[in-house]
Amino acid sequence: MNTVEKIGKAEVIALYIIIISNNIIINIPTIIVDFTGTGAWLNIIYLTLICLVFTIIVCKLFKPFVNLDILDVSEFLGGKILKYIIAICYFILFMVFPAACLRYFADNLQNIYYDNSPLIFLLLLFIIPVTISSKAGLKAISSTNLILVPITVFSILALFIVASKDFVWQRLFPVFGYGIKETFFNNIPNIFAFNVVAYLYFLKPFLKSETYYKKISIIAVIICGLYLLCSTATLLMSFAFITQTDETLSLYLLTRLISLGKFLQRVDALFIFVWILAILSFLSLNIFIISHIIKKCINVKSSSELVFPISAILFSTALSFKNMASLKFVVRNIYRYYNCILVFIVSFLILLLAYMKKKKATLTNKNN
Amino acid sequence: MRLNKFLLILISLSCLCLLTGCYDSDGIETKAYVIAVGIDKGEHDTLKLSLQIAILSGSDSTSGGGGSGDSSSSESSTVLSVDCSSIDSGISLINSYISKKINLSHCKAIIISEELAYEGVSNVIYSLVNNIETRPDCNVIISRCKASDFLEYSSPIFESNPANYYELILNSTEYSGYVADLILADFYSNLLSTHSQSAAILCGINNEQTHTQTSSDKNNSLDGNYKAGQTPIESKNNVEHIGTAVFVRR
Repeated sequence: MNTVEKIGKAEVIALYIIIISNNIIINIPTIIVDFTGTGAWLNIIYLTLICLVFTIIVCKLFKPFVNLDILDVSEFLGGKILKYIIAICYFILFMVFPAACLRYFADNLQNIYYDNSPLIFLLLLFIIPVTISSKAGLKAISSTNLILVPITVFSILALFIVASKDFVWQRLFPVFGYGIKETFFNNIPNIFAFNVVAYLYFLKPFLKSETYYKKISIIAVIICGLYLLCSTATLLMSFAFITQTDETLSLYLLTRLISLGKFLQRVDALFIFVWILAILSFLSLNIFIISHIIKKCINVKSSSELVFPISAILFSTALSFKNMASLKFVVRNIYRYYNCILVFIVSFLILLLAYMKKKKATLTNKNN
Repeated sequence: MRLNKFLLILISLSCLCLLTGCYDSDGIETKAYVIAVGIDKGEHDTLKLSLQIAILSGSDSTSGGGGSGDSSSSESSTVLSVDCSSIDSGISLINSYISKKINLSHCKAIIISEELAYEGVSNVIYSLVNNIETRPDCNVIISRCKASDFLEYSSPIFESNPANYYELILNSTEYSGYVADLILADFYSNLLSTHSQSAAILCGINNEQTHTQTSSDKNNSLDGNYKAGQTPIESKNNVEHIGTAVFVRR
């Protein structure tokens, strides 16, 4: 366990896709629709372009740092103190969002199917397999994920295609939603939907070859943009009322519209089953990354022993949300800004300054 | 390593025991599946909620009483009615009366009386849309008679399964042109929309009394002018779906 487990191109892309799929399952498109109205799809296109440019710049800045992640870069720039600060910030990021996802999904599952079962049992139903899989390591997580991704992607795409019979494209209008200012300026924090960028900072050392890091990053952002665009457009065209009735998983509301003839109706359980698998995979990845962060900070040889306490913290964090309203408040009003500031501003500045420091050091070495 | 294996086996065994228990099992024998919801203006309260509940074969679901209206519609279903302040409180009241838990996930039709529809249906529709069990594809029907009466008289002739009856009765939308397939999702969406109006299927009880109303109306020279209940059909099944009820925003 001392050596870093390396994963291939397909496995990394699959991991990114599961993160993106999870964002869609967990209603992030609805949050975007909430803030931008019918301008959501235009807002997504705009943010995808920004994120694409951002990713290309990040890849360029990351290039001199071979086999290093953002924590190593922070250490290079500001020593151990900066490294610890950034580690704590990312620990919070990778802990709070998955915990919110877990709680949100478990709560919805309880409302929809298991109204007699205690929430704690439903949470355990996720936590126990996730703990076991995280203990098996990144290779095991990514390989299992590689099997799950086609099923998850197919389920979401099939949902969009089947639901297309109920689309009313006029619902996409007015294109600017609540106005140009709201669509293009005030709601730039919606870029938090591209949280896949945060994972780009950490998965670099796990790549078998760093030559395709840039390619993978760009592919991940494009897939994320397309996925978000499809889902927001689908929600907008299917439900004019989505913002008023958003108490449940919006994709679940979409599945309830599916009826193919007389015999294929009420297929929502099938979709929920696939999404449970997707969430399990997503949580496993997060626990692995958190244990990797802690391992780097406290200099332990193996991160697998950290999985149990991290799972326990994740479980407690998921339970700590008082109700769905407080969870929504955290995601919409705190996580949304926290993610933007940490991933798109702080980390970028660290990379930029570290890049300049590295360049300067290289030049000094050359001159000497 | 041996300790890890032991722990893994212990966790797995604990999961088997703890997570697969049947104390919270939830089967169809514990649920009363509503086929159609009828909503009238209440006599003693705001609303009168009527639920047509399927009686599953081999089930003893009549236990708990038959409510104000008993099973005259068909042996495979029963109708329960209650005066209540809201749909949710009505469902709770009926839940306290019968031995099974009301479940709306198989509800095929929402029938609202014309009298209530004239006063506005937005509150009723909001409650139904926000209920996780209600399907967005169930039909919204406006009844020219009382909704509870409609449920009582909607007796299937060709169908033994009442849920199938509600599904098939509106099949004529595909070949007759006298009825439109109007569902809850569209109804609600149009209710909030600023550029379209909500519409629902019009229905009524068809009997000799309603026929005479037609004969006195000389304007009804074309078949397409019949409103629900006016078509001169002689049949045992005296419930009729024809026409559309269009809502106007005030």
